[in-house]
Amino acid sequence: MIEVIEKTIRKYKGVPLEFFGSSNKSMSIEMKMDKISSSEMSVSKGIGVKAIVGGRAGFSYNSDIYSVEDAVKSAMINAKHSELKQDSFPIAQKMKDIEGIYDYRIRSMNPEELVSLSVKLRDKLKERNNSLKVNDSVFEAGSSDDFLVNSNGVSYTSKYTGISGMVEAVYKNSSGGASMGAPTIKGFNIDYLSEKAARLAVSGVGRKKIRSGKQMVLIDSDVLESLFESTLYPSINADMVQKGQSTLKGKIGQQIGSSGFDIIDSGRIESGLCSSAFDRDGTKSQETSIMSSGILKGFIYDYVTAMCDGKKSTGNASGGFGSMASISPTNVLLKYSELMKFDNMISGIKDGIIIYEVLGAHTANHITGDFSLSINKGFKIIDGEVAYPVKNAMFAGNVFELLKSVSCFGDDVRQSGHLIAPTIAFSGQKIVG
Amino acid sequence: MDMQIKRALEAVMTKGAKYADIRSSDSSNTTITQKNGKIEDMTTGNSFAVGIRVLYKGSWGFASTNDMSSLLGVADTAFRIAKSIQAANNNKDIVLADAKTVDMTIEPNYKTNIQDVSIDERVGFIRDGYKGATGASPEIKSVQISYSDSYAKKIFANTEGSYITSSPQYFRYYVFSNARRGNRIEQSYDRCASFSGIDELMQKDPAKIAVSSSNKALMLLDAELPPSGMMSAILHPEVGGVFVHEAVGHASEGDHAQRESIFTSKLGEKLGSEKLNIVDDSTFFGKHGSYKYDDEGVRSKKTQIFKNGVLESYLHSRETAGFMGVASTGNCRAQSPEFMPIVRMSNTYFDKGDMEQDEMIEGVKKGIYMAGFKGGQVDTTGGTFTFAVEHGYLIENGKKTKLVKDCAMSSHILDVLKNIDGVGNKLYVDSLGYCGKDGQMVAVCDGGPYLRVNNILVGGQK
Repeated sequence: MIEVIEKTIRKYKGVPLEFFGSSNKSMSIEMKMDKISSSEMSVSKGIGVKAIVGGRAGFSYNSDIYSVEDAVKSAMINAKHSELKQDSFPIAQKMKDIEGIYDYRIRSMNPEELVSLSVKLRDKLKERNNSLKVNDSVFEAGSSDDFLVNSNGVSYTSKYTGISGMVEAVYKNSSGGASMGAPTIKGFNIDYLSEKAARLAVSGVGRKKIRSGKQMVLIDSDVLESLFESTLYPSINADMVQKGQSTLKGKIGQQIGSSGFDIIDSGRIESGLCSSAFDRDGTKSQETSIMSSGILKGFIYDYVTAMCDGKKSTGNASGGFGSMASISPTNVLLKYSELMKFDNMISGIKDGIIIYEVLGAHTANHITGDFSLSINKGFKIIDGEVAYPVKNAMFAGNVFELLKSVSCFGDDVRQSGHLIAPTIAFSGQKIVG
Repeated sequence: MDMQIKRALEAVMTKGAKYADIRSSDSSNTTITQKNGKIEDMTTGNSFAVGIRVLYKGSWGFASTNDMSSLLGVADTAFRIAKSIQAANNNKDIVLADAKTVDMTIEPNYKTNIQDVSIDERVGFIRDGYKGATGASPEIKSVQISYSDSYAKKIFANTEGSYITSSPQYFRYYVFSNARRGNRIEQSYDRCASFSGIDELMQKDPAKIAVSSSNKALMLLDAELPPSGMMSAILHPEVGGVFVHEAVGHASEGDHAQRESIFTSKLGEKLGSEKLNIVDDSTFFGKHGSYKYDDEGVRSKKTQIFKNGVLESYLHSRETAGFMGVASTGNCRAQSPEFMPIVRMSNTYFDKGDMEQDEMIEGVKKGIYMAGFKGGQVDTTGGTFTFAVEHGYLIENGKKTKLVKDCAMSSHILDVLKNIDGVGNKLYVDSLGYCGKDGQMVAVCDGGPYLRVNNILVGGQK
């Protein structure tokens, strides 16, 4: 394939071209009411071509990877209608692989192995409590082989794998969910899924109404990730900043978070769910400081937005073959000067709430950061003890105020989507009951 | 292509499958995105996908590819995985509800073929929009407009002899306006979309859509954050539609009801007030959630979910209908041939009642009027749901007063069904929504009249 592309590059000499190809294989197993109900397998591939004509870039794609030349011609026509300024593509750099993001065992996995994982999870739930049922569980495993070639001599290939599982367990009239993903089998922990789902389902019985008021709020990393997806991540995206759609515009060097609180974007974390040697533009991945001890340090860039600001790309171009690259965080690491044992964190709280699941995170205002979430799984903490599950309560606030309200970090660090963080306690948050 | 499809279906039946179906889509797509007056994304592309679903005794296997030449191999994979699940689980046989065999070509119902609209004309829709959006006020500082269209050739075929082809065309036109005053930035949007060709965009003035987007963003600059607590709410039809979708629609989907949904085993029970009448109607002409046949070849139909407060029917696929011994309601849909079809809503609405809008507001001492849909979510097992709106007004002593923004509310399904005490006398079913479930997005439409709901929890930041 690469030979065909190189031949095309020679044929269109003088037209800067970029080719991104991807070949994906994935399978999933679904269990409903304790029984495996279906299994899916999918194979897909395609190629995307960006062409620069007269300093403007156009794009075209095709799911038939052998239609390379047709895609080049379409991309060149599209460039003539485009006003996206771009002169060239990144130049070749020496790449270094990242450990723990590819597992040949996932690549060669068969559906039976996923079935046995799914059954194992069900059995582990029953071991914990025989009345627990799997209402729904989905296990997925997939691999992707990508290549990126451009007329500046870049010719990279990469392989990724991933495995994920989600479960909703039911106990009486209560349900409890858990999900996790990892690039390798080694990093995938089925005990985490069964323990969390069982604990939340069983302890979720007997929900009580609570009173409104400001209090300490502990947020699970799954909840924080879903909230950041619609608020913080768009705000640190250089494209949004340049277009005036981020409240963080013009705030570099200002205090925007609690002192001692760091936010780092890093595409180079070993075994990171969002790690890769290079990004969708062909820029080597790196570690970028977003916030250091509460002070805003920078934004995340791809090649085009970096050029626009006269900066270097931070390696945050993302996307598949069917669209032009767009900016996305890689692994987002939250750090705090001090970690506390999770149990000690709870025992130190007089009046608070711990939130494991919310509804409506996607409706948060991505510019102002205002949010209002329904607490679907939360527990009241009274005098250092988890007291009871809460009923019909909401959590309302602002993400940028949240960044300034960190009280402490737990020690239960894990990755949820982009976010690598523990349970975090935020003081003075508004709960509506 | 039809020979390859027929051969693949025959191959899995020969091996012992009970049923199989194949869906394929071959589409050409265009996306044009303009940011602050510059076309920053000009993309065209072609994509093909084919998926085969095989039923073996009590288990499903599904496989998809975008290489037609590998269809036989993919069909074999789907069969093998169904068989291996069955061997491991010994699932009880799945009974599919009967479906009529259909052999037809669905004729397109557009006047203008998208292929006859030049790229310059399509770019023109955006340029007109930009002029309209920025001309609304100097406080409009940033505008993003995106246009996308697609025309496809689609095939559905199953082992019962159905063979349905169609050639749908759709477009989407979205305008996002950002208004700025001092440090405050507010965003709003407006849009136009249709699965019946591009005529609607050509008839509606893109500039008017863009002005409406900007005016909404400007209005938000004056809005305050909402209060919190239990109160009465008057829901604009678009919001009422989302409310119906989240609070009733999802829990009535047969796959949820078959497992642990808040509506499981409650058919025939009176769960709400007399005023509760809810319908899902995929036959509604020209709406965003309309279709002729669902993704397992079942004719679209109108289904009464609630009648006078009584749960009358779930929404069904052939599988969930077969499980409950009823007929499919034609609600089995997939995002694309790369996904297994699942039970989905179509056009879901609250049927009209007899109250005037003013009458509803007059009856509220302390409450909130909610408009401008932002999104919603539901836990069909536990019964909690939420939805959020872009703006609203406080209602004090029967009158709309202060403008508020970013309001969200939450309640429990079984509680809220009893708390609807006002149903407007005019029906609006016009939304252009997308609904996400199990990782798949499908187009839907929600609506209804103005609704008044008591004792709902508003989660304001103020």
